[in-house]
Amino acid sequence: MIYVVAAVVLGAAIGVPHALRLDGAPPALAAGVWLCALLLRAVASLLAAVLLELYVPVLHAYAPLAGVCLRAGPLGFSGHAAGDAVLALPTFVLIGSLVAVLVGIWRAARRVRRLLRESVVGPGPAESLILADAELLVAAAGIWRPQVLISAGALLTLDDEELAASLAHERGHIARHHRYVIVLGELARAVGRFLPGSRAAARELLFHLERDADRFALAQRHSPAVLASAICKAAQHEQPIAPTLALGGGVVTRRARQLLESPQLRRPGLGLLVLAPAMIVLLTLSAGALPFVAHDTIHRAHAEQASIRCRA
Amino acid sequence: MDELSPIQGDLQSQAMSALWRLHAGTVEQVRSELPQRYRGAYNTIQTVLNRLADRGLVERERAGRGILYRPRLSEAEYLSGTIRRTLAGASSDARQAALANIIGGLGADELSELRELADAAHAARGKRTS
Repeated sequence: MIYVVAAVVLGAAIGVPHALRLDGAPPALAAGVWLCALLLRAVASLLAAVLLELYVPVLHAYAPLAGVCLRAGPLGFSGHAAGDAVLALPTFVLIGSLVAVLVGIWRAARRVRRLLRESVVGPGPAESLILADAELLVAAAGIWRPQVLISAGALLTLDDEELAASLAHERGHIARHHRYVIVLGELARAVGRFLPGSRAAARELLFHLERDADRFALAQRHSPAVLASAICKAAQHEQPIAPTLALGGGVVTRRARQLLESPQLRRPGLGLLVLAPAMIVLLTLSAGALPFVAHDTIHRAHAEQASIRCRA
Repeated sequence: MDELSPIQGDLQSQAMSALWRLHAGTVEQVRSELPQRYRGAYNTIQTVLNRLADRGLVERERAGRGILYRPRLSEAEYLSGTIRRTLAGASSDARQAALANIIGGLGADELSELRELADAAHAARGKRTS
């Protein structure tokens, strides 16, 4: 019964951000809510995998299959082994997904290093590095030593105000440590990718991180219209290189419209102020419950086997 | 916003193209190399070149009584960077197909020049690794 209640609470917490309109909320708070939602998805997937692998055998759900045992030379078929393999499959799939994302991040980081080695012309404005590239690219790249990269194409295309606003936006990504949030969000998405809505949650997280960097630039007295203009120009040209946070990234039309139509932020409502800490508490509890759930299911299995032995 | 802003991007690109053709030039040389419709006042072109220098795309060096502007990257580097970055994200097959497509569109003279350049690049790489 307690598992059913926990599943309902977890499902509600995962679904609530999708039902809220967070576009006007402070971007850091909204990004925090979406990151918690992604991490909760990852924890929910892990809980589901643990329950499937450890709890289903206790229920004897595949008892009829376990009785099947075919011996054909060295390649025998045991129903019990097949059942175990099937139940362990989700865990292997989750591990595989996580490894694939880690490899993707490593390969992307290698591409950025190669780009820096081969294409850097020299220092650019505001401590940026100029890339020999005709496309309009402005991005914050790198995890341990992040740098603002700007292409020669961007330096030729953007006017003075757009250039200053773009560089302030990218410095915002670095100053607000968005790179760690992106990596954590990607890892959580890898584990929770089989739950519906995980891709949308990751997209929303990126959108609010971009909004946060936009706000950082506006706080440096850059004009919302100028920043919106630079974002639209960049979105028409650039092909961001992950793990970079590029000027034209995220949902560009929503960002540009928000900058042009409502540059002032709304005060967060009481619901949102309660939701964010509630999700953090729930995340802590559910992640902390993982080993206990695993232990409980193993304990039940042993108790079940002991009772069968007693009856025999 | 100053008077240059609406056309700043265009003018910067044209000034840079002129510098690439000249390899290096004074304000007056760049101005005379610009297409007629971009050939503004001397001060306007000087402002644009100084902005390109402030942005790190152009180097300034004193030459007699004037100032010589020299691009910090060649036009070939400028264009090949985009191609290299685009191809870096493509699969090996797509990369080869894209290069074959580009080469297929070249004329006989360009192909022979390309072969010479490829040989020179190969020799330079060999020298660097040995």
